[in-house]
Amino acid sequence: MNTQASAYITVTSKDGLDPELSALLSMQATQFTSAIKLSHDNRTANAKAVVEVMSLGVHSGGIVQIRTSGEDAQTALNTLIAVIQHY
Amino acid sequence: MSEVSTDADNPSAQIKRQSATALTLAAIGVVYGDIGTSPLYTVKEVFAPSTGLVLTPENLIGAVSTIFWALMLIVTLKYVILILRADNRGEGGALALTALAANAVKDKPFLRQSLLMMGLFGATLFYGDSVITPAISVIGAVEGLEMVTPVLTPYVVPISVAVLLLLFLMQRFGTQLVGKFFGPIIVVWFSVLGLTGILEIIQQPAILQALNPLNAAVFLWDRGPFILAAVGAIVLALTGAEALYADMGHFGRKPIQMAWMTLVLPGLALHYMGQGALLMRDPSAIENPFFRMFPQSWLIPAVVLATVAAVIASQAVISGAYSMTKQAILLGFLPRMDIKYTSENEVGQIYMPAVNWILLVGVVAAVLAFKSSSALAGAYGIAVTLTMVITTTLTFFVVRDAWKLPLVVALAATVFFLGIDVFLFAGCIIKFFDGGWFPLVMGLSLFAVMTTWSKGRSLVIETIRRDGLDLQSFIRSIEAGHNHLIQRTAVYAVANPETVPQALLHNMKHNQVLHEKNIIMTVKFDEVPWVSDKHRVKVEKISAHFWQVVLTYGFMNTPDVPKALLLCQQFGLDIPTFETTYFLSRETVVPTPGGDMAQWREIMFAAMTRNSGGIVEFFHLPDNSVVELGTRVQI
Repeated sequence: MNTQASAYITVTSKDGLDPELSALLSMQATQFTSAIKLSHDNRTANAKAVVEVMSLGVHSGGIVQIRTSGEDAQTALNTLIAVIQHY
Repeated sequence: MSEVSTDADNPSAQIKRQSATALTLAAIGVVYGDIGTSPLYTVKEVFAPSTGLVLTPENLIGAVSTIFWALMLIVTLKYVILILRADNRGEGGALALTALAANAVKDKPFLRQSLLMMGLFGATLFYGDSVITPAISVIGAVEGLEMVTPVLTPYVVPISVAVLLLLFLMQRFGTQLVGKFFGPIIVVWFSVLGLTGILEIIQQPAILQALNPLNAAVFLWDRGPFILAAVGAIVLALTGAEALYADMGHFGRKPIQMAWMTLVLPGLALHYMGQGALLMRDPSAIENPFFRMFPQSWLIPAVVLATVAAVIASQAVISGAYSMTKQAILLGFLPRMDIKYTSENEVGQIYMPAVNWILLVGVVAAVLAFKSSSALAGAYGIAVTLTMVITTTLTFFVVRDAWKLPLVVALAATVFFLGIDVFLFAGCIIKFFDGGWFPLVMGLSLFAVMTTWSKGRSLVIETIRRDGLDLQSFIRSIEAGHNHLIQRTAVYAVANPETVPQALLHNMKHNQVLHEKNIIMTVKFDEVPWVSDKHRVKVEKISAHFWQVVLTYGFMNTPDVPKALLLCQQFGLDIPTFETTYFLSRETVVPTPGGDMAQWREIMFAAMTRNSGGIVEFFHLPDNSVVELGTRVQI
């Protein structure tokens, strides 16, 4: 069943969406079949392409919108939120 | 592709191409300079007021007999005949022997670690010798001027300092030009030692009784524990014995044995007997028995020859200190330092500015603080005899566990030599407050530095492993995504090949690209002296765009990464030199309270990391193709 999910989350880690957190998000995103988009400041990145995630340039305190679409959309959304919250 | 020669930097391979005579001559200069300059001060110190020995014919025969039989037992039997067989693929010296012993007990982790620490401490003691040998030999030679005229006495220390300054300032030019004269000069030196000895023995043949070992035994036995002070001085005749083992890799066993048997031992034995004969004939010569063996008109040439011999002896220990430091760096006990190669033909000839200046400060401080060879003699010997104790102990494990000799034989030989070593050490340790503390404090300080660096590095690697992203998962994820590939090769140098290099992440973030070929490269140093080009590289393809390459070196090799990477072609991985960028991570270590090391050690380690030498020069990377990125690591 194709579902969609979306959430806003504040990046609280000291260095924002740094290369390592970007890589971690991307590694998690590739495990899902759903399409996953991250948006910040009018820029959107495919969460499965690490270079695109890195280029969002999110600083500490920045807000990121996560949008997922596909069979495992909700699980993917929850997983990515958890990665950002626990990094 | 450039042609890569096999074992180009291994002198053991070069040895086979040189004649035995040429090697023997070269060995005489480098290996025997130190032990060859001991006659400048040894006998004088044996009868110094502090030993309480009276200058009687019996004491002279007994002391010379002890020196002669110490040379026979410790140098000839122990080192020249036995220890030289304990080579680590052609190499000798404290670290090579330690590696050999550690490997022999590799299935006993605690024992292995203990032997490694013991060997490392033995290696650090060498630096104490590297400070005292130049100081005592040069000042001992220049003291000959006092025999020319007492007016020159106040100039002994300034002239010695000037000679040493010149010696250390010349180091940057290497020894390629003057090195070929070292052998012939030391041959002249030992010939002069022998000749002056013969001339005195002819006048007082009674000294030949020293050849009878019973005289040595009686001399040592009769005085009970009071003999230890004299033993501490007799040890001076043996200083430099470790060099013939340490330099084995450069010259080979046979030339070192040949030089000892045919020239060095006869020269030294005749000369010590000659000094004994002179003192039997004229006890007033005790003021400086070495120079009193020369007629007044020959004193100036004798001082010049002795100074040159002292400089050659000093050069040998200074070069030894460079070599030891390089080995310690490669084995992970010291941070990278600047290494200059001073010869285009011989890769073993190196100059290390940091080591040079530290030694210079130490040597000049020793000369200015102690002011005479007699005072310096108090500091000399402890490090030498302690190194002998360590060498004997380590050799036991090689003989027993690697050579599989019967326990009784190994134990008997070890107990015999260890007994002598401990006796000699006891003679030196009583000089602790007369300067003997100096090499010990230096050795212990360096030991603390080396163990801190080693522990700190393992903590950094552990932190990276713990906090880093798993490389395989990362590669799977990026290969699944869409990446803009550029047609070039990136080499990422990493300490831990299992995690994603920080430099790779930063490169992707800042340049938003992925290279077509990404090499995750680890440089590894094995506990063996040499690793040949045949075993240099291990290549594993992990995805369409990623390879893992492990380069392995021995602790005597000179790591040249671009040259080694050319060897990957035989495994189907072409790394074009001019289309390759090297990405390096420079870690900034942040000490944290309550870490795995004491706070002062963490601070020291952080400072060493900050000041460690450039990775570019160390690994011979082309400096116009290197991108260095900083990362912070908390330990």
